[in-house]
Amino acid sequence: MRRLAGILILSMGVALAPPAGAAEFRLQQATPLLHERILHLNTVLDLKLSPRAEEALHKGIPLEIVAEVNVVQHRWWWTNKVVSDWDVRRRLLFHALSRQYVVTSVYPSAAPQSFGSLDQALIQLGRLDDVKLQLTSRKQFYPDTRYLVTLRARLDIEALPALMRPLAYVTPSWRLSTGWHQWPVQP
Amino acid sequence: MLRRVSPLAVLAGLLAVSLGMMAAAIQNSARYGNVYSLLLIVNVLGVTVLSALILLGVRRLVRQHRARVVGSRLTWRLFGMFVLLSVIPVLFVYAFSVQAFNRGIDNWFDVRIEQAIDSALALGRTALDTTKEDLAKKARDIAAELDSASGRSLLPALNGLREHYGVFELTLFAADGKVLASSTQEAVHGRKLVPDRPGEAVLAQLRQGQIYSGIEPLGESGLQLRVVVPVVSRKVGEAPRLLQVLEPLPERYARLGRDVQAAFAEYQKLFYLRGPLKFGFLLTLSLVALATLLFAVWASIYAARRLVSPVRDLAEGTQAMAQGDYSKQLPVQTSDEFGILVQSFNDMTRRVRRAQAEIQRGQRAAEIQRAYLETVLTHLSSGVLTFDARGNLRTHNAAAGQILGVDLAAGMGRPLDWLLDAEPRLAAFVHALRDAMAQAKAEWQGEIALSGEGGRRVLIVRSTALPGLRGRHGGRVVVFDDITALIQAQRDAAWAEVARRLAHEIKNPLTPIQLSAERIRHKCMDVLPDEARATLDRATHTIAQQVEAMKSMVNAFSEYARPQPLHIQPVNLNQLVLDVVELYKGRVNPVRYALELEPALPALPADAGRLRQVLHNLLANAADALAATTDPQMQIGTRRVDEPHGAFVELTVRDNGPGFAPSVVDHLFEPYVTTKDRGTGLGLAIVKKIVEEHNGLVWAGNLKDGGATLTIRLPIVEAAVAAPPAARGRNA
Repeated sequence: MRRLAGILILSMGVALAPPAGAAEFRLQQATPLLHERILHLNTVLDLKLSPRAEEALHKGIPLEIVAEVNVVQHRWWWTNKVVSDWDVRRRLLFHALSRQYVVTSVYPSAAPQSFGSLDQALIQLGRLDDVKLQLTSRKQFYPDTRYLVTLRARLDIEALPALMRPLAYVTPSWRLSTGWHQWPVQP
Repeated sequence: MLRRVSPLAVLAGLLAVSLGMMAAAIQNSARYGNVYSLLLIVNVLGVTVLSALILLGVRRLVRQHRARVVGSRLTWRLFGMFVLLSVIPVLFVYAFSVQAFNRGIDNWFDVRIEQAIDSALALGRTALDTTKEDLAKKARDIAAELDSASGRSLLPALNGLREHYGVFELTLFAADGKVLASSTQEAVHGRKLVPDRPGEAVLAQLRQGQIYSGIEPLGESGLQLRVVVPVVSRKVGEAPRLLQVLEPLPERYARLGRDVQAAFAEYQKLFYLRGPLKFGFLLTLSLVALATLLFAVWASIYAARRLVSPVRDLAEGTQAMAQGDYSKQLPVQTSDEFGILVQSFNDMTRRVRRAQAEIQRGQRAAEIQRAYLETVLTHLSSGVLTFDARGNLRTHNAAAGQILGVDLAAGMGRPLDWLLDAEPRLAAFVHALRDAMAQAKAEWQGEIALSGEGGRRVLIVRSTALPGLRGRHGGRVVVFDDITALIQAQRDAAWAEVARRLAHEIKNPLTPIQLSAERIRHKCMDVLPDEARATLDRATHTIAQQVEAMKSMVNAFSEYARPQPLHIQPVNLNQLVLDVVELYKGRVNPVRYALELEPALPALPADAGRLRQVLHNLLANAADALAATTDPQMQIGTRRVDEPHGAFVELTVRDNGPGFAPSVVDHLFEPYVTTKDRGTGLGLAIVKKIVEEHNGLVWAGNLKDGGATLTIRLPIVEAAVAAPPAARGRNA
């Protein structure tokens, strides 16, 4: 539901605002591997926050980065069919008392890690080291069919406080995304 | 009505609920916070749908207004009024609310509180820094003591040092980050047994020869101190090892620190979210205001339509009535004043319809009356003309045109003066009528003599003023009759009486006079001397002669007066003319006869003997008139004339004599009218009598270049030939 709302508002925002110029989220490298119904993901994201997002972070607003990962079946005659999809979600929080940036992996869950500088925290945030994702679908893969892994990492506006969402949806500096990337995988 | 309201009512309810949820989400994001965006979309969609509905409504109004639909202008006016009445207060409330909540939100944040929170944080940090410094000092001391320890002695050394310095965890790492040894206090709070490794950044910092000391959040609420120092080996060339000291903050410190952190973070967040909060409130309030406005506008349209509906019905009904549709009945929908109005309208139309029906009945009756009058007028032998108050011709009947010999349709709506130019012979009629109309008298009567091609005709004219509205002059009706024939008949009857009396009074004494003269002659002839005898002889002879002359004269009169039965048979007029002219040619007579006889002349149903007498009389008359003329000429012509009311044979006799004297020209056909020294004066009277016995016409006149002309017209149709009324009377 939240996602649907997000998409709707996003589409409205896109209509309202000029497209975000240089996206400050970039995909540096990725080597997805599908092995025994587990997707192994080794991805390095180059994440740079916009000044507005950085300000919000320092004012105690937690930011969530979500990497949307899909395994899809390629269909030349129609849109691709999603076999499995995951939201790899990580949260970045500024701890004012200790002046530490805390990175927490929400999914897959992991212990929080603290960093003294934002850059270090962002590096950790963007490093998806050997993330193992179990396929949710029990369906068999068809032979002679192309399968793809698609990935997009973005700042999750829906994770922001409700009050900030309307403005964030229509403000380019809040719309941080790597855009969709895809790789062929061999099941 | 309910069907049209309910979807909007549902929409309104939904909007109200979702706006309420939005407001709740702003005040406390725990409630509905996760559906805030959805609520926003729902509201925006609701407002959009409402706007679309209103636009449709307004478009309909605009179209109706353009098409000048009845009631659309009033609807517009009411709509505008309602909108003004609702929009202005809502805008005022909106403006004041925006100002109020802006100011209210700003008031939440107090500089002193902000300072206090900042100070608390600074205090906390200072306290933590002090603890951190202490721990760093301990770490350095431990590192100094550890510099010689290695291998198997490491763990006991670490344990000893940990216990000695009273720290939570001591871990020694190799330069490459491998754990060499680790000593931890008994696991408390279920903490992990695996030593906590410093991060890459910490290691990087240490490689540069620096000490790392930091306070790190631990779990959800705890804080721990981490100090990492290099342990420099005494052996030359050996890479320095790393000592990490971990110390969780004491519970009390941790709780205080957590509170300070939480308060600071919350305050910071609130302060930061002040802008979005304002925006959120503004958004919600705007949506509420917009929804209210839109509802007000929609309600305005609805109310205006609803209010105008009976007015529109009434207006349409009135228009229908104005166009003559009196059967319009409006539905009475309400029992309020509008209902009473509509009821009254319905009553009115019913009454008007009844009245209209009455009027139509009256009109029909008038039409019938008019048609009746028209029929009567058409078949009336008298001419009837009516004029309006200004003397323009309004109606005329067929007889009027026949009597006057003109087509009166050409003069409709005009005064009769046009006849002066078109038909100069009717001048006397026109002048008489004009004079009559100029007079104020209601009744006028007179006789008008018209002379023209058809001979002299006498009309008796009566003019009566028509009644006008409110005593005004209302025009005139003129009734006239051609009484020529009547007058002629009267004259003929008078002359017949004269002739009869003459015959009776004069003829009776003639015989005794004659007898007496003869007796005197017989008795005295022998006794008188010769001289006296000659005188007596002459005198008695004269008496006898004159008596004989008087007798023949009286006989002629009685002949004229006494109608003779006609012996009708087909007559060839041309042959008759030739016969008679032949007789006259034979006499000692210098007159030249020019005959123009139409060869194809039809046979005429007539009395040949009497027609012969007519020709005799005419030729004798003409010959007498030409007695003093040098080179006397006479033209005799016959021709066939076809006219709308019948076919005629026309006989024309012309001469180049002196013509008729002006003094007699109007009375030519009356007995005893003569300019000749001798003659009875009955010639033309007898001609006319015979012609009229044949239902013909005769007229005479003078030619422009001298001479006289006389024309006779006899109908060809046999049926038209009838015995004269006098003859019939006598036979009866």
